Amino acid sequence: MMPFTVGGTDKAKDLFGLFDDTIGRLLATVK
Amino acid sequence: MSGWKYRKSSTRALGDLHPGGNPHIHTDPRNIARVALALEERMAQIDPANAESYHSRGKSFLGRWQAAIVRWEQQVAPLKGVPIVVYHKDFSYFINWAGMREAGSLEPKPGLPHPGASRRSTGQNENPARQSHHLFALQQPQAAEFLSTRANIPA
Repeated sequence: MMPFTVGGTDKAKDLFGLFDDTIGRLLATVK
Repeated sequence: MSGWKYRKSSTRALGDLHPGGNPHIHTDPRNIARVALALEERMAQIDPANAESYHSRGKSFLGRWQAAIVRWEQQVAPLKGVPIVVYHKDFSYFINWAGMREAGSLEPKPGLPHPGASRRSTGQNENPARQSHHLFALQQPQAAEFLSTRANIPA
């Protein structure tokens, strides 16, 4: 489940967190 | 905007399409920078008394944002070429930026609910998961979780 927007997940607290969390989740699936 | 796609025509028969093009521009971080710059300029124009503040804060944000983009572009390198199935086509800008490959979408038509686990066909994206290694869902995680379990691919 991706955050998609700010506030979408606990880590997506702002725009920086949105991309940090999105990228982190995607990288976790390809490992 | 990077990857902006206008539609020449649209009809509700095709689902909940956005006639002006895919509006989910914020999923490409380069577009955030463009929006921030436009906001900075517009706010300074309509509120000239505080223009200096808008320019100062805009410059600060864009500096940090561009540095973050450089970092993110290094981080997403392993995602290049990775096929992915989405639920709704609202991550197309991110997929394009990251160099991933959108193998299909679970929605039969934009904005229309998934017909359920009993559906045997996904229309033009027939069995997209069979050719894909990853999928994710935003609005309806149940559909992605169902397909993830049946196709044995990460969600």
